[in-house]
Amino acid sequence: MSFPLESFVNSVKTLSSQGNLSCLYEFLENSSEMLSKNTTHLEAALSSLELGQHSLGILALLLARFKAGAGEPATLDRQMAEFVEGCAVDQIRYAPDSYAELCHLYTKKLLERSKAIKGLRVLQQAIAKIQASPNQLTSIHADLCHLALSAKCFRPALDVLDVDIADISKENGKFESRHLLLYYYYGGLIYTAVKQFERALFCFEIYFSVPSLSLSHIMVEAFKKHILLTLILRVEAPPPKHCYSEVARTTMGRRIRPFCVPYVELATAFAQRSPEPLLAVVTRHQEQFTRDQNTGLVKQVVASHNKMNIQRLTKTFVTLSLSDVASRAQLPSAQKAELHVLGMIEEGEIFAAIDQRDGMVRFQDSPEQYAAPEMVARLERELAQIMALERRLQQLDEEIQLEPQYVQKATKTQHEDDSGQACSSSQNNKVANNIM
Amino acid sequence: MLADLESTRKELEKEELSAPDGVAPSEVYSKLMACYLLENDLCSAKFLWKRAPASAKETDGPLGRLWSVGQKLWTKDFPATYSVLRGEWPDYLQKAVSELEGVIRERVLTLVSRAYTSITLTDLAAFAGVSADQVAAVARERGWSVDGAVVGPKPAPPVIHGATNCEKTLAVLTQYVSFLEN
Repeated sequence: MSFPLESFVNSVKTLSSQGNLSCLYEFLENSSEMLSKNTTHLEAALSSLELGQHSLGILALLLARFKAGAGEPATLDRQMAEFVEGCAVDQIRYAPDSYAELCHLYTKKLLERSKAIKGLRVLQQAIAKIQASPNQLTSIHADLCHLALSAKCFRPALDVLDVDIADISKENGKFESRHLLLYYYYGGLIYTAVKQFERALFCFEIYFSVPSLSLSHIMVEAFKKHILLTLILRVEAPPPKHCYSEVARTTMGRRIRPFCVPYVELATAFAQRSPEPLLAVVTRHQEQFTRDQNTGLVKQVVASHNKMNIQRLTKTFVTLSLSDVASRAQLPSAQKAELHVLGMIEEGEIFAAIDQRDGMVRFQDSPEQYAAPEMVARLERELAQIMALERRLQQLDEEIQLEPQYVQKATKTQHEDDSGQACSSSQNNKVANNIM
Repeated sequence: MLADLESTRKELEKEELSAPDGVAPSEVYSKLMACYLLENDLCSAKFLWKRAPASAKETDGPLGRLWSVGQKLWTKDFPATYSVLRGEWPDYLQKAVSELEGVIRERVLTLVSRAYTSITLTDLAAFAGVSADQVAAVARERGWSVDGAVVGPKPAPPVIHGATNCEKTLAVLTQYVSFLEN
């Protein structure tokens, strides 16, 4: 082992045993250049350090190895997995940025080799170790979702996505807005793949909740998917005014719309009753949709248009013959209409009864009485969520009120107000005295 | 296998993710596919098929045939589903496949009872995967009226729920009201 590396190893051992971890972190930052010059001897250095006691040192060595790109992939994978499993949590909390960078490089290597599925468990464990609380977002979250999409195995990512985020890990200043946007964009894609469209819609709404001076590609793509999902779910476009600033929403919308002309046209054609304009828009912009890899979603939009037409019929008719359903909803035949209606009854989108004897469909009101235990259980669950959210907001409010900067500003404006009032009242007195 | 479906599925998913070099034995994939079909989780089944390695996807292998069952369920082609399920299966899947046939039939017949007030015997036979002479017996078993060539399905009687703990409910309700009043 070369001399600089030997001295490096000794410094790591001394500083770790002294427990002087912030010093060690700075030392490691300064030695990164030296490490990158000595990549051939890193293996020996790694074997002389112990995982439980010298996690920070091993982190720096592994980072140098990954950056250099040397070494057999299988060994690197194994070392990464062992490191994540055995590292000491209190040590790595001093270097969250290096830890995150290591995970980014690991993800990149796996994606290059198309072995994304191997990284899922490792990254899940890595996130669990570095998070201060289960609701904290790190830049590794985006990597996990990226791997899940590449491997087409969504369960580990869904476990992480289902937890609401309440906090962001700063990672010594290296956390960027890109990581947040990517996490929500990939998360939205994953939810769309497993057909949880409401959660996906929530994820794609990041395009107007992240303040920015210029647009990013991620926001534009998120906006396109957002339009498609609102059409598939047949809900009103952006959420109510009190959720997001009205100004932010309209300005973002105005800036993004020029980039997504085919999608806006699709939305306008969807609102019409006949499917012809919709199909015309689809064929006209087929190429653009294929380039954006949105063809599957566009097909679902067309199917959703049919469903919308059938739902319109439930508002006007109580009974209707299957052939009438087919002609009014512009479906090719009564058979197809029956299959469509059956599908919608299964999904719970309409309530109806088909009578094959007369070939009639009887539309019914929703039989939900809101009195069954399942409904009560659901109510309890949602109320518990809302109460937890309210508690969290109160906590945040208290934290802000105790923040010294806020107190300073608040008292300053109060003094200005008070002195202003004192001035004006003294002026009034003078005037009154003059008059008198 | 059906007794503890959720825990079996979690075990198999863990096995798939911890496999050396990302490739698990093909039995794991077939069992996992059967679990997804039993839970009626067709999306997960589709992605399992997409990510399974080529070694598990041999022509006419159990995984491929299970996935064709999934495809037929997706397009609601029930007669074809039953015919694929009745083929030859390896020993470790035999029990799962026979459970699967029963589960699918139950699901379809519940849907029919919800959606139809009258349905022809031929259509019902196609949905239930039974022959024309047996279908009338199946209908009568469920208390449906059989009238010539047409059957009148009745929705299943609503399930009676057990009593809940009064004090606990009162405490929870007081919590909600105090929260809403503030």
